[in-house]
Amino acid sequence: MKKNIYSALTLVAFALLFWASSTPKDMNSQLIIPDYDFSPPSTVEPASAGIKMALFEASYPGNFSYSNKSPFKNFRISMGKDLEEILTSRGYIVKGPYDGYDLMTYSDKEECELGLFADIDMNIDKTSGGWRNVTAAMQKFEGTLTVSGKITLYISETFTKQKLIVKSLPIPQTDISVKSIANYNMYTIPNRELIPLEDPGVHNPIASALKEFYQSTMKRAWDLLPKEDLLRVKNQVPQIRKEAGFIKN
Amino acid sequence: MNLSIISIKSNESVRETTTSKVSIMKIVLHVLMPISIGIIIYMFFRGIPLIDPHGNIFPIWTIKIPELVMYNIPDGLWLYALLFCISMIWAHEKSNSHYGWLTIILILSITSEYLQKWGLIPGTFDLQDIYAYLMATTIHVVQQYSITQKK
Repeated sequence: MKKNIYSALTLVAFALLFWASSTPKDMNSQLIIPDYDFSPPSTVEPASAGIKMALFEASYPGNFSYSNKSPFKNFRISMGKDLEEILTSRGYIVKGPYDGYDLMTYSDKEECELGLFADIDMNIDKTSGGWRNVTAAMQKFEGTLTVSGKITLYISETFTKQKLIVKSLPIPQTDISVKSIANYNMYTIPNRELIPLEDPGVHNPIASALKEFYQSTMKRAWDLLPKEDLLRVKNQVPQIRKEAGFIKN
Repeated sequence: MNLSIISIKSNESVRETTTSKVSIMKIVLHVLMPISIGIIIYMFFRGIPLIDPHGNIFPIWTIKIPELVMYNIPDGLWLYALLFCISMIWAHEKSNSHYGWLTIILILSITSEYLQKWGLIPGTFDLQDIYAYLMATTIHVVQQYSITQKK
């Protein structure tokens, strides 16, 4: 009997110890890459629009420091794929996507009258907070970041790159609260001006904010690429090429 | 006559002292040490919310270590220490009550994980924790077997 009581007391003591020390496994300790995916609202017969479009990969012009880091990299790649889907659903014949204009061959330029370019002009600014001391040598990044900018879609004649349609889609200014999960040694932080995007506590809130306006932005991109508008500019292409000397009389 | 009584008492006392030293050694090695290792892992890599809810002191290091070490090994060590405590209480005897307690504790540990999965108690379900519990129990059973064989 005594042993049973001691066993029960031991079990309770250990259970309390387990409960007191337990921390939830932090599911935020993983980088969450949102599924940036847009499905066109309708689809017409493939190639029914009679326009051949060259598609160029979306890019971050200028020196956006985070262009090659998740989630901005994923955002850009997804946008390229969804633009291709939009063009196909609109009935255009799509060539590409090309990583850059210089990678497009002469025959492709001849074949495609128009090219679709997407520039993502993204800004991410720290509006409050920043690095704060946790211990003498360790710091956390905590504060509010503001994401803003615009996405510019433009359709150009492929030989001259003359812009025929330019549409800007503003990225709604969004405030995002972030708090790094990790503590960082203040002497080894490579650049204190940069936000620690590799930290899930910083990365994941930004990624989910980007996801929120991705759908609305791509919906607007869908609305901006109707067949009628593109047929109108396609008709200008022979004249542009002629004036530029690409078509001889 | 008196001398022989004193000698027997002295021998008993030496035996008791030796036995208690062995018991203390066992407690240190099989109970305190596993728990301490678990606590050190918490202090260095996970944090201790009860003491330091905002993570200002713990974790001391933020280097990435394998999740097995960070999450599962402390759980396994905790169960190992508990099982050893129970076996010490039962003096490692071969009895149904002793084995019953060990079985109940293993079942409770595994059940607690599933209760976490179903959201009935706080925590995060992790299959690796169950593997850690089974591993701790296996080690304890093997050890228990070797102790009873020596008796």
